[in-house]
Parts: sequence; C-alpha cells; structure tokens
Amino acid sequence: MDTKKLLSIGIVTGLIIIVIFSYFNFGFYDGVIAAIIVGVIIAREADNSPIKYTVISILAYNMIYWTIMAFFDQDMKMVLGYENKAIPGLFVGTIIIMIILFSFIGSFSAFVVYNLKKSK
Amino acid sequence: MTSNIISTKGLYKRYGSKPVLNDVTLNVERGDIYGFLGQNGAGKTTTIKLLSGLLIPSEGKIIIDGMDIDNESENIKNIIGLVPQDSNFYDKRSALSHMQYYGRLKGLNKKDAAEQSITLLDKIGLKNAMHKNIGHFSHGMKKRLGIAQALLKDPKILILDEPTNGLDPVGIRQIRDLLHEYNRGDMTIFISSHNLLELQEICNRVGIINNGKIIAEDKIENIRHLESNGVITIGIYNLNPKIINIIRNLKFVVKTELRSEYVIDVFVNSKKDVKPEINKLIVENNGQVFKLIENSLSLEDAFINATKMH
Amino acid sequence: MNILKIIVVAEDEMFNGSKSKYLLAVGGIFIFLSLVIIHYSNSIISLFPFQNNINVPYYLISYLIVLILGPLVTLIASYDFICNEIQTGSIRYIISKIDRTSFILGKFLALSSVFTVAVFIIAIISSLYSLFLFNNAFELGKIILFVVISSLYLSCFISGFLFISTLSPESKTALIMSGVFLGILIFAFFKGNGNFLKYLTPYFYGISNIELFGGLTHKFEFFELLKTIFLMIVYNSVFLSLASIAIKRRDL
Repeated sequence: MDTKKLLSIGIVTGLIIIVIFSYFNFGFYDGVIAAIIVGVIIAREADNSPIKYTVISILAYNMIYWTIMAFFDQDMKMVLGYENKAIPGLFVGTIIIMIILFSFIGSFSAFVVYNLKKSK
Repeated sequence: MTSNIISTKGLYKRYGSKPVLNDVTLNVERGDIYGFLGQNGAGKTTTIKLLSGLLIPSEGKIIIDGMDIDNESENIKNIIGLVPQDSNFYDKRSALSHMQYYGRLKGLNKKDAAEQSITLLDKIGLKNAMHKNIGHFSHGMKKRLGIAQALLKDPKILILDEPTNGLDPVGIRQIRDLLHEYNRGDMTIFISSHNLLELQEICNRVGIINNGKIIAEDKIENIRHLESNGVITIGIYNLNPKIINIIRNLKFVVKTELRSEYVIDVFVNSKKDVKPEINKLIVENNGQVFKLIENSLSLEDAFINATKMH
Repeated sequence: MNILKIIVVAEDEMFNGSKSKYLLAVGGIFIFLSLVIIHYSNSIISLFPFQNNINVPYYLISYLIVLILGPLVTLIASYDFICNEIQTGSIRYIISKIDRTSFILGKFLALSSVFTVAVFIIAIISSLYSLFLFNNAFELGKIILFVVISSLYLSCFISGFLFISTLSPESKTALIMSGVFLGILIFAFFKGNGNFLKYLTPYFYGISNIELFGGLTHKFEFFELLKTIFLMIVYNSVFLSLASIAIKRRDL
C-alpha cells in the first residue's frame, strides 16, 4: 500500500478510536487500545517497515489529539495555565512519556502481526 | 506398496499473491536417481524445501514413502537426508562435532553417532580435516560435509539441491561415484542441478520445471526426444525466406534457427531419417545445398528447447 | 514433539553449540554481579527499610538481584537464539531432522537450565554468607524455594524473548523488540496493580513472592505461592506455544 494512504489510515483510525474511547472514560487505556489497533491495522496493510509507519502514526495522532485538547478542553487549559510552571511542565512531560509508551506498544503489536502475516 | 516413493499432487506455493509453484505434480519411483532440472528461479529449490519440510505448501499434497507430510512429517524426516543448496554450518565448530550433533538429532546414540560420523567423513574425503573448524573449510569441503550429514543413519531418500556447485571435476566425480554406490544399495536420490552434463551421467529419470510448472517428466532417454529428437544443419548458398518457410511447414519440423546467411538449423521430431526428404524439397525449390549434417540432441538442448517452448 | 530430541538440542546448545560459550559467559557474569552485590550489600543496607537489620537478609537481596537484573541478563542471552540460526541458514540442517516444536523447546530448555544453575549458585552464595557471617542455619527449604521461583520467573522472560526471536528477521530487530517488550512489561507492572494488566507481566509474579525471603511483613501464604507458580507455568506455556506457532508458519 502507498505510504501516504497507510499513514492516513493509521492517523485517522487512531484519532477516531481515541476520541470514542475518551467518551467512555477508560483513562490511560484508550491510548493503549488505540495504539494496539493502529499497529495491527498498519501491519496488515503495509508491505514493509510497519514499525516505522506505526510509530509515525501514533506520534502524529497523539500530537493532533492533545493539541486540540489543549485548545478546547477546560480542565487542560486550567492545568496549562497554572502560575507555577512546574505543574504544566510535569503534565506535558507525562503526556510525552505516555505517547512514547503508546508508540512502544503499537510498534510491538505491529511487529508481531506483520511477522506472523509475512510467515504465512 | 506403490512404486512411487515421492509423489506430489497439485502442489502450489505462493508468496503473497505471487505464485512460485503452480500445480506441481511429480512422481519419483523407488530406486530412481531423479534429476530435477530448471532454469534459475524456476522453482527447484522451493520444491526441494517443500519435500523436506522446510517450507509449508499453500496447497496440494506431498506423499513420501506412503506417508502424508501434513500428518507424519516427523516420520518422514527420519527417512530423508537433505543437502540444502547453501552450506551454512557453524563456523567455530569442527566437522566431527557437527556430524555428531546431526547424528544424535537423527536418533543415533552418542557412540553410533560418533562412529558413523567418522566413517562418513572418511568416505567423503574429510577425515584429515574433521577436527578443523568449519570457518577454515573451503566451499568444496563444506559441500562434502553437507552430503556427509545427509547420509547419517542411511536414509531411504537422499535429496540434494545443487550438490556439485563449486566443486572441482575431481570432487564432482567423487560425488557421482558416491551417489551411484548408494543408489545400488536401493537409496532413492532426488537431485537438482544446473549441471546438465553431470545429470546425464548420474540420473535415470528427469523432471523439468519451468515457471513453477513441471513441463516434462520421463526416463532420460525419452526426455532427449522431447519436442525434438535431432537437429539437421543445412547449408544453402541461396537461402531465402521462401525456402525457410517451406522447410518450417514440414510436419516433422519442430522449429528452425538461422545460424548465418547460408546455414540453418532444423529441429526435427521423427523416428525415420528425414534428410533425403528435406534435401529433395530444397532442390525442387531451386535451393543449392552444400551441407546437410544431422546431430542428436543432448539433454541440454532438450532442456533449453523445452523451457523455451513453455 | 520428541523429548529425546529436545534434550539433544538443549545439551548441544549448552555444551557444544556455537553460542554455548556466550551463554555460559552470560550466566557467569550474572553470578559474578550477584556475588559483588551480595558482598557489598552491607554498605547499602541502610537504603532498605528492613525490620530486622541486625542480620543482613541475603536471600532477599539475592532475590531482588534476580528480579531486577535477571530480565536484562536473560534478554542479552536469548534475544537472537532463534533468529540467528534462521538468518545464517544453519537451522535447515536441524529442521530437516527434527520437528520445529522440539527445536524451540530444546532452545528454551538450554536457556532455562543455564539460568536455573545460575540462581542455584546465587542461592548457595547467599546461604554461605548468611551461615558464615551471621551463623544462621543452612536453610535448604529456602534454597529450594528460591531456585524454583527464580528460575520460573526468569523462564517467563526467556519464553517471551524466544517468541520475539522466532518472529524477528534479524538479530538487530530481535534486540530492539526484546527491549521494547521489556519496557512494556515494566509499564504493565507499574500500571497494572488492581486490574488484569498485572497478569501480563512476570514482575508481578516475582514481587508477589518477595515475602518468602524476608520482605517487609514476613507474611507467607502457601496458596498465593501455588497460585503464582501455576500462573508462571501458564505464562511460559502461552509464550512457548506462540513461539511454536510462529516457527511453524515460518519459511526456512
């Protein structure tokens, strides 16, 4: 499959899942589930380098989601607007670490699915 | 008990949507030395890997000595000796250590594995090098070790993938003699090779594969008659397209090949001598024949013709 | 699956294989590191909130070494145990003689055996330190428990890394993915308390048994011990089955 198409599918799928799951309030796990699903989908469709495309997709849709949240979510605006910069700093740092963790999880699921598919 | 020791039926192998083997059906009789011929990329190594269980077929059946490979692969592995194309051993281990390990994997106890290993290494000409690490072995020595490990526990079937690649003439002769010796002891041998001249010396049956399909399978003397059984070289001073067409339209002519301005090769398939008939026809059409020689086809010519035809 | 052939593969891997020296060296380094930490544990004992700090709890220290260092050492030992053979093509000579499941189990048995011996030696070192420095009795029961739990704990990681090695096309990918897998397990451990995630990580099984070796409360529940042993065996079986499925689907 074409690179652009693959990345679009990954990013759009990830965004949809993370938005839907955030309504159900799974908390941390919406990101994990989204990462796993995106990893599986990209692994099934990619001809090569599924890990690379998975990581890029996960980073991209998480950046988009959290940026939108920063502008429109009231709770997040409050945290980011704290006078003491340590708190927003810690918050942003936590989000970055979470995104890196999601990309680990997504890339692992992509690795497993792709290599099982390739071996068939 | 069927006389076929190896038979495949409707064998397919695909990588994604790309077919590598396309309905391969072959039969190897007990005691045969079966030569498996094909151009590069025809599917020889893939077929061999399927027979030895290294690959899983996309479709089809493989029956070896009456056992279905899907259900009894472990029993089948006990009766097969495989010499894969690439000899990839452990560089930092000795030949003897390899042989003992493989012998034990075949089910021999330590003592028998050691004894058989030394005997086989001696037979294959590696006795003096058996304690050397494989990293110091030449390509030819590695090939011989590959054959030696396949002969452990006297398998019923020996499958060799290009065993003489990279060997010198002495080495090739040794391998040939060894294969004849084991075949006399009722071992069935399945050998793939590009070295058609060598296969002519060794094999009694041949299968030709092209583009993943078996295009011919028969005794070696019959394969030479494949598509055409002879080639007549004709020299004509006034060779022209009209004469060439007249020759091509003869019913026993398979094809023609222009060698030069005056000389044409005519591939024929006929049990009788057709030279007088061709000569008469050319003369009737005002052709001035200065040469008319018949050559019999080698297996190589038959192979090249067959693969070009398909 | 053939038990004799599994034993042949394991025996060869440990004593004659091309990686046997590497494997034994990694095991040796693990023992050596443990010895150094145990020896100098007197100096760092104040960092640990032990109730009884007259006697240094050597078993507990050894167990913590196994819990923390063990997964890293098993990663180094096992990440390319399978993919290296597939990459070089040497696996063809083996798989033409034995079934694929026996091959995987043989490799697993080799790795587990080496690390079982390593933890046994670590347990003996702890006992000797405890015996000679604090005149504590030689506790055979504790040694056996230590060896059983530690080796099962490490074999959980070994089975996971073997699965990744079976899937990987090359050693570099296997190393990276094994590292990623370890990272995910650590994350699951920290996040998993109170939900199902904890069962996905061997760290949970390891921590559950820490009380046996003189943890904070010295509480010991036999049922909990049996439960974690059973779960670790299930964990091993799952990953070994996955590895077996992966190698059966793989073209060699």
